[in-house]
Amino acid sequence: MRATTSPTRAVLEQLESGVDSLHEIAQLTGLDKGVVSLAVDRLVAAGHLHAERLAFGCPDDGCGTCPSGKGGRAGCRAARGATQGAPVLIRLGPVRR
Amino acid sequence: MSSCHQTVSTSTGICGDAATVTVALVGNANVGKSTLFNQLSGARQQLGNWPGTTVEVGRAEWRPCDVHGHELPITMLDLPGAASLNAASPDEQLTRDLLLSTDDTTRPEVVVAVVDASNLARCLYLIAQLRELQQRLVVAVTMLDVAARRGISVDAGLLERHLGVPVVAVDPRHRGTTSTLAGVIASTLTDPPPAARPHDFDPIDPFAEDDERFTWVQAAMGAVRTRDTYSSLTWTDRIDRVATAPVVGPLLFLAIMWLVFQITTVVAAPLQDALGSLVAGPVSDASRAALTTIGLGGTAIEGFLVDGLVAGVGMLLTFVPLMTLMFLLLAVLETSGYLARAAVVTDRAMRAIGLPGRAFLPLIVGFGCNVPAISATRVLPDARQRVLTSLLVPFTACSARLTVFVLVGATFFGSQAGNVVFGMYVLSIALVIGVGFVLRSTLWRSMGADALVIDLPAYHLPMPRQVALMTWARVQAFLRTAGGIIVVTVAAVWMLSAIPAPGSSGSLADVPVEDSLFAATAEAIAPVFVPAGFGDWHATSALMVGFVAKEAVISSWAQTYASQEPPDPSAPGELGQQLRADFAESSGGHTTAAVCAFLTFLLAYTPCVATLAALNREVGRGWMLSSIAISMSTAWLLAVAVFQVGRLVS
Repeated sequence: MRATTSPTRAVLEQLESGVDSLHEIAQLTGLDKGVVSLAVDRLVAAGHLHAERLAFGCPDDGCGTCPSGKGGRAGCRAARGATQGAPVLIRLGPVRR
Repeated sequence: MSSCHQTVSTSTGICGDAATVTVALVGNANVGKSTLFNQLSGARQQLGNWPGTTVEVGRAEWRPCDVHGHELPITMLDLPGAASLNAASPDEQLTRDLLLSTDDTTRPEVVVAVVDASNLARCLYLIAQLRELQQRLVVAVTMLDVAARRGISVDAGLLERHLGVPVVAVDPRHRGTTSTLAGVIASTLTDPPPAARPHDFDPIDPFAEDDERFTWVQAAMGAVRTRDTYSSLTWTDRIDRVATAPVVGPLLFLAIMWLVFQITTVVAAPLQDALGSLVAGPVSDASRAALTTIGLGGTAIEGFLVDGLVAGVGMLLTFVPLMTLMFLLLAVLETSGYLARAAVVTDRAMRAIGLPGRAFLPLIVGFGCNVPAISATRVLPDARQRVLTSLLVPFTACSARLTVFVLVGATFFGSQAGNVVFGMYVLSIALVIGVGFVLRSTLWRSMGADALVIDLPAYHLPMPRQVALMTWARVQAFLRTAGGIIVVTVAAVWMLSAIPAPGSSGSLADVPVEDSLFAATAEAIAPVFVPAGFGDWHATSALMVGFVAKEAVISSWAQTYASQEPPDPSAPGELGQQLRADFAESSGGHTTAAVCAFLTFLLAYTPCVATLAALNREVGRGWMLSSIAISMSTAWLLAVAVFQVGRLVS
C-alpha cells in the first residue's frame, strides 16, 4: 500500500489492521518513518490513540499494595527509573471522526 | 547563505550601538539547541523563570561583529524544547505564546530553529508550523555527522530552497560555524520577514490540518534527504533483526536468561556459603554467649532469638549477594534496551496462542513481584482480560520464590543449580501459557485481542550510575519486605512451636519441635503430599509458611531444623544435609523426583496472602477463591505427575 491523500488516515488504517511496528507502517504506507512517528504522536495527542509506557518493574505511580510501599506509592523507589529505556506501548482508542 | 560581511540595518535598528535585537532559539528536545546557545553566549548567560511563569528560559547577550567591526547587539533566548506549537506542556505553551504573540515587543525579531539531521522529519513538523507565520526564520541543521554515520545525507541547499528560509549547517561543539550563523542572522535582518507558507485545509476534516503539514514534511524529506540502504541500518536495526526475529528472538531470550541465572548462581555461591558459615558459626555463637552472660542461656528466649531470628534473618542475608547480582544483571538488560525486545518476543508468543497481547505487561511485572502485577492488570481495557490475566499472574516466578529455587537447587543439584533455576523460570512461562490456553479455551472463548504497536528504543550502553541505583532500590525493597515478613513469621512459627500438640507430653515453651502444634498441623496436612513424594512435616510446614509469603520458606526451614538440632559450626551446609535426608526418606529414595515435584508445587501454588488481597481488591472474592483453587489444584496435579513420572524414570 502507498500513501493515501491523508497520511494520518493511512497510519490509522494500518494500526487498525493490526500492523505492529512503525517501521512496517512506514513501508506499507510509503511514508517516511519520522512522518509515521509524527502522525502517531498527533493521533495520541488528539485522543485517537492511547499511549502507555511499558516497564519491567513496578508501575510508575506505585501499586498501592506493595508491602514495602507507603501511602499508595511504590516502596521500592524503582518507579521513576523503571520506565527509562522501556518501549512505548500504544493502545488503539476510540476514533472520533 | 551569507557570512558576517555586511552592515546591518533593520527597522529595529541593531547596527552599531543601536538597540539590541531578540533572537530566539527553538527546536525539539535533544537537537543540540542548548549546546548551540552555550557556544554562542559563552559565560554570559543567565537562567531564570520567564516573567509570570515557572518556565525556565536561558537568556544571554551575543555580540558578533559585522564587516565594519561594529558589534551586533543580540539578546539570545533559549526557549524550552518544543516538538510543535500545539502546546502539550507549560514549556511548549511559553514557546507558542512568544512566537504567536501579536505584541512586537514580545515576539523575537528572528527565530533560529535548530533541527537534527539524523531525525529530520520530526523536526520539520515544527518548521512547517513556523513557516505558517510571517516571521524571520533561520534553520540551523545540527548532527550532520550522526546522520552521515547512519548513511543519511541532508542537502542544506535543497532544504533551503524547499523551506524558503536560510539554512545553515552548524556543529554547536565548534565555534567556527557560529560566525556563519551570525552572518546569516544579520543578513536576515536586512530583509523584511518572508511571506508565510500557504496552509490551506478543510476545517471540517479533523485530520486535514495535520495532513497538510505531514504532506509538506514528506515532500521535503523526499527532496533533501538521501539514505544509503545498508549503512542507514543502525546497530539497533541490525541487532533487532536477530533479537526480535520470530524464532531466533525467543531462543535468544531464553539463552540470555539462562546466562543470567548461571552467572548469578555460580558467582554468588561462594559468597553465600561464606555468609552462611558466618551466621551459623560466629554470629550464632556470639549471640548464645551474650544471652548466657545475661542469664538467658538455654531458655525459650534464646531459642527464639538465636534459632529463630538469627537463623531466619541470617539465612535471608546469605541471599543478598545473589539477589544483588540478579538485580544488577536485570538492570543492565533493562537499561540497555534489551528487556523491551523481550517484551516483544513474549507478546508475540502470547498472541500466537490467542491470549490478549497486552497481558504481557502485568505478567512481566509479576516476575518481580506478583502484588503490583495484579494491580498492573488495570491497563487491560476488558474486564474479562483483567480477570484472566489476574489468574495467570500467580504462576509467574516472583523474586521471593527465587531464594527457595536457589537453596534447593544448590542443595540437591550442586553445580547444576543455575540450570535448575532457569528450568523453573521456563516452567513458569510454560504454566502461564498453558493455563492461559486452557482458561481461554473454556471460560473466555469470545474474548478479542487489542491491536498493539510497540515503538522500541535504541540500544545503548547502560549507565553505571543508573544501573547501581536500580539495583540498590530493588535490593533495598527485597530486604525491607522480606525482613518484615520474616520477623513476623519467625515469631509466629516460634509461638506455634512452643505450644505442645494435643496428646503430647511437653509443656508450654518446653516441647520438642516435632511434638509442637506447628509440627502437628503440618503432619496433618502432609499426607496430601505423599503422592508427590514430599509428605514430610518439614516440607509441609515450609509450604504452610510459604502460603503467607515465600520469603519466609527458607527462614522457616532454618528455624525448625535449628530448633530440632542446634547447628554444628564445624559442619557447614547442615541445613542442606537435613533437607537431603528428609526428602530421601519421604520419597522412598527417589529424592530427585521428589525435589522436582516440591519445586513445581512451590512455583505453582498461591504466591502469598498479599497477592490474594490484591486479587480480592481487583477482581473480587469469587475470582480470588477461584485463583486459590486453580493454582492449588494445578500445583498438586503437576507435582504428583512430576514425582510419579520421575520415580518411574529413575
